[in-house]
Amino acid sequence: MNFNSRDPIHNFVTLPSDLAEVVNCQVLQRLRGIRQLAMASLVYHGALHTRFDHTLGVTHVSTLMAEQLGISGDELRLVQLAGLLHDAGHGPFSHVSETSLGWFADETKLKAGQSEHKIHELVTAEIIRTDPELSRFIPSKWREDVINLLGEWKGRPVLKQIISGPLDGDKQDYLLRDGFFCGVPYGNFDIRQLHRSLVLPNEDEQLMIEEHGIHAIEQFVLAKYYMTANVYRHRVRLISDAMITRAIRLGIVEDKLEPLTRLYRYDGTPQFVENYKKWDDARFMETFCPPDEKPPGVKSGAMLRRLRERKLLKLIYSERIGQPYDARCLEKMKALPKKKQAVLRRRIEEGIANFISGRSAEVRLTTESVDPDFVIANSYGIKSAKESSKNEDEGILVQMKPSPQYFVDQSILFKSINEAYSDNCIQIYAAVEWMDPSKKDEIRSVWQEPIRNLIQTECLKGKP
Amino acid sequence: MSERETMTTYDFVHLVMYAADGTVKGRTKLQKLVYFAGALTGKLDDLGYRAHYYGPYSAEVAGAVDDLRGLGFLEQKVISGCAVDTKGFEIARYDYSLTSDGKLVAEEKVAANREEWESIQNTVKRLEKAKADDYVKLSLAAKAYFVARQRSERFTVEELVCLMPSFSWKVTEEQMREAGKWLEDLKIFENQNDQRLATDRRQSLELRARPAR
Repeated sequence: MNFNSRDPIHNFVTLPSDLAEVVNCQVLQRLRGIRQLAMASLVYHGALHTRFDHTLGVTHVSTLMAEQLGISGDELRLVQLAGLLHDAGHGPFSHVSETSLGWFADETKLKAGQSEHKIHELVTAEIIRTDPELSRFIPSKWREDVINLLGEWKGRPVLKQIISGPLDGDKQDYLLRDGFFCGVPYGNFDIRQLHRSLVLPNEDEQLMIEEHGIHAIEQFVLAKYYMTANVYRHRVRLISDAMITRAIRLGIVEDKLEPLTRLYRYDGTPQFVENYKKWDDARFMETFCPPDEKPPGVKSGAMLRRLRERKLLKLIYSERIGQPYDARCLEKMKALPKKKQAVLRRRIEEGIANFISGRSAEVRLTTESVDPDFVIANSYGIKSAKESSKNEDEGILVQMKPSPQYFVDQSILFKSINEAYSDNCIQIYAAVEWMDPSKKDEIRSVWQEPIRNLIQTECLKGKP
Repeated sequence: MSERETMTTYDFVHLVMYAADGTVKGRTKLQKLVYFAGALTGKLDDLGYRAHYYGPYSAEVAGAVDDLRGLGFLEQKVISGCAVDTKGFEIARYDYSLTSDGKLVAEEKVAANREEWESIQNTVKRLEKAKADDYVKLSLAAKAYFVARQRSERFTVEELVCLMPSFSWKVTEEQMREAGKWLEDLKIFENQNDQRLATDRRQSLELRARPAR
């Protein structure tokens, strides 16, 4: 009997019965405990949906795409398995764990060729390759094919494009699902028309759209842009993600918490993967910030407590990375969240903590307010609407005579948008309380210049 | 980028742009220029090129261009009127030029990476000498080189043409013969940094020079 599950986005998600056994494997059931958007519910209270919901959605959308393109049999099954397993390596708080895995991995213990990959991709591959329950239902050859399809695929391009490309099932599902659960209508697009327009000119060729699908693609691309600007880069989401990342770092580096180190210090061993598979959001919070007990780590516990109680760090500075900064600072500012800029970021955070300590007239000072560990210097980018039509790919192709053309050159709407670049922003979050919240914008504007000067001075240290 | 760090794709693209006097006309040309600069300096494997519809393409290189633009180091101008498509619409060309800030920061990178800069600069000069200004010719040569790199054994032009469909590419023997000649003039298979190609490809070229059946 087929597997049928009601889904708020796609109505019924239907899979063949043998795939239901895969759905019931613990590596997939674990995803019920990992929220799709980490702590975005602190701002969009409905955003409590999980990686499991998304996994079923991706599998459903990928199946529809494959069927539209006449893909069947073993190839369809491979696409479905890849859809089911594409997020199997997600850790607590989804993408936040990816950052920490990359930061704390023991690179000296990686096998040849592994350092070229992102750590969470290696974890995903290891789970698919070694999980005993999965191997009962999926033969070894199939598991290797799924790993390849999720990574460096050398087979038919269209299978890869359904799973990972500018129009993949992953994006289609997360835009609709995240928009729905956040209660924002920005993620909507005409998915049926988009699917109707999918075409595969030749068996070995790339996935394209027919001209009648251009408006559906415009909607899809704009949905991606609006969702990024309104949800994925929302101030509260950026702050809460940065706080979890900082809590993990404090727990490992300052509090020296062994379970946390074991969770994020990837060393390529089977023991790492076995342990990793046991964690989800709830276990993470219960372990490192139990509601009624003293947390095992002082600093990490204090940061997580703030998240639990929604006492978030405050945005005290935000500015576009560009003029009036000295051009020689910009690359460093953009790379602030990266490991290679850890020293610079720490110097900036110390400088800001020192700056805040003299501002008792504007903010209520606490021990945490002047502790550099509770100041976070962050930066992020938003791609323009035009750039949003690409992902890690060349762009969407429209089937035309005599040769296919890029969607951005064929869409009247997008042709009129000449600009295509990412906009970058630097922000500082701190553990302060405004004395008078109605004056926070005024205070931020007074603080802007001294903080900018401080950041610039630190970035230019050592330069003539 | 500090002295001790390895050069990233972003820095490589920045310096290729700087070596090209700060200006490249056309986004396809920019992709292929960086591709061949990577091949000639032994950096190609680090640049993320994959087989795409119109030839080898790197999302990392495209991302680097966006990043350079986002920081105000690179300007893009859309030039219309270069050509028209089948419906009579103009096909736009995207020209790129480094801004004064982009040149200032490139200078810093040059000072910190003298050896790599000289290699990039010499390579871009070599490409200019080889008249790498026609993006159609560059695209065909990039396809030929991309396929040639996948194989270690010898092959003929005819075989090369037969291998192309597995990458979704359609080419003619004539096009591949021309591409092979251009690559030969560029002496790309004699690149000392590309050890895998140093011997086998020389033999391949001898075969490529055979007349067509």
